[in-house]
Amino acid sequence: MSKFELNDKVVIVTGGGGTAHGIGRSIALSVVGMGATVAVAGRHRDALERVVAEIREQGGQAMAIPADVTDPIQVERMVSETLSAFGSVDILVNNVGGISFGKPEEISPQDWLDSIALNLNSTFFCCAAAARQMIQQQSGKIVNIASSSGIKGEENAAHYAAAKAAVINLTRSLAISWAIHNINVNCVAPGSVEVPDRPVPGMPEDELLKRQRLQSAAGAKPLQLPGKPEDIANAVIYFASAGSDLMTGETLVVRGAEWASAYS
Amino acid sequence: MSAFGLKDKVAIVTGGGSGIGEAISKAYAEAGAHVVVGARKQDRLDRVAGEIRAMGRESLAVSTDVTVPEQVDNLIQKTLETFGRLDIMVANAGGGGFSGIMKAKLADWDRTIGLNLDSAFLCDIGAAKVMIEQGDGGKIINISSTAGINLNPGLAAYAAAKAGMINLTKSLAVIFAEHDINVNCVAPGFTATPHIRQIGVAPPGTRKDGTRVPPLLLPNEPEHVADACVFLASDAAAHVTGELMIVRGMFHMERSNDVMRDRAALVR
Repeated sequence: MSKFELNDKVVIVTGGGGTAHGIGRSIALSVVGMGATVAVAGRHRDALERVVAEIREQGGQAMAIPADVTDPIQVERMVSETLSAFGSVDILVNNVGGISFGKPEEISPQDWLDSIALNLNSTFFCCAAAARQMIQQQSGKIVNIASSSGIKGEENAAHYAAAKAAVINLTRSLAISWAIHNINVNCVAPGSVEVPDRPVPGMPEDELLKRQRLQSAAGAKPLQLPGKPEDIANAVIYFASAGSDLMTGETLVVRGAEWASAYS
Repeated sequence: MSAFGLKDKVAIVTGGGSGIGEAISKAYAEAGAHVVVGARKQDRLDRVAGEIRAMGRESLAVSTDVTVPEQVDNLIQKTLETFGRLDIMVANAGGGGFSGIMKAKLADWDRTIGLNLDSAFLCDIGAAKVMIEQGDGGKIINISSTAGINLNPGLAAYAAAKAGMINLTKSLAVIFAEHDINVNCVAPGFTATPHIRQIGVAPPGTRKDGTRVPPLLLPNEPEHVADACVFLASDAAAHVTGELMIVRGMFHMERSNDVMRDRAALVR
């Protein structure tokens, strides 16, 4: 059947509660829609349980793993719990991450360290733990979620942009290291994604207004507007599926024609 | 099917009579599309069109030299006469051209740029005019090459033309965004097409010591490139435009391992 199906695959989605934009939730629901079983991991137990309930209602198989993936010990537990429940780890989606805002000259050292921990350390710890299992399996697919900020830079979030740039580069190194074990490592870099009705925690008012204005620009076509969580989830499915078997180390940017303004 | 299907879409694939183009054409038919194949050699096109019809989809074989504007117009016109619309254009036709840039004449250069870059210009613009007129969007996919990203000293004109395609993709993506037309580029690395296998430069899947080469250390099969083209043509890639997808594993690692092994053997 279709090259893009994920029948009988076991997927871990970090940040699977989708508390910010709902991207993690959308990824979890989408991979199940393509036939996979999913373990959703993250800090917010309630959000994870809501996603798991939603998947089970639709007849899918899912479990919640409350875990702070910036802690390598909890990451090990996440992988071993997935293994005991579902028997393998075929696909890892590193979706955990988050933005905070501040002028570069005003970011505190702690803000910097927190951003690197949340966006970069988590990705590395999860990749390494999952890869140890995938090397035993001699197969696996890893999809990291970066951001177009990691390519173009970000005036009010340098610590976030730098961490995401590192995720893009980490993707390349891991792809080289693990090609021999038949593990593909790729990256999806979303541009702006629709902000939900409730504000993203910590987003300054003017940033929120800017995004909401962009979201509802009169007469704008879909490619000129922010993406939807499903657009990101579909790119993840592509990299999780056999349809990308010979792609590794690559980053696919999903941002419509948004980037045009940065270069023209 | 899902967002990844192409049910009842109408696609043109240039260079559709062989190699990567043939694989794209068949993958599109498999995903549910009707496929018009255009290339110079009618007998090859007829064979591919026949195979697509055997898959239960409609197909049309239009002999086309994609460097000639009137022939590209004819390809698009025949598509509209038969299917009434056009949803997907894949500008895949191209070729390596000459080697040895120091001996080349301007005519050699022009021929290679014409085959690889002019052809994309003609196909992309021709298709976009139809898609804008239809008013409900469309997908344009240019097939470049990793030669257009890295380098290829042996095929300098080809590499320059392929680099041009990557940049053309970005400009057109911006221009066509307001018409809901996605323009993207796929750059295959070394691909083991039937032709490449026939001339004996595709490496074997088994090493001299009898062990199997891991799949990611082998060249692409044409189907791997086709899968990326199915994704980009589908609703699943609705928000992807102006992007470059490089389809290549880590084939170069196995080749450099080979070189290392051969060197080690020499030293011994």
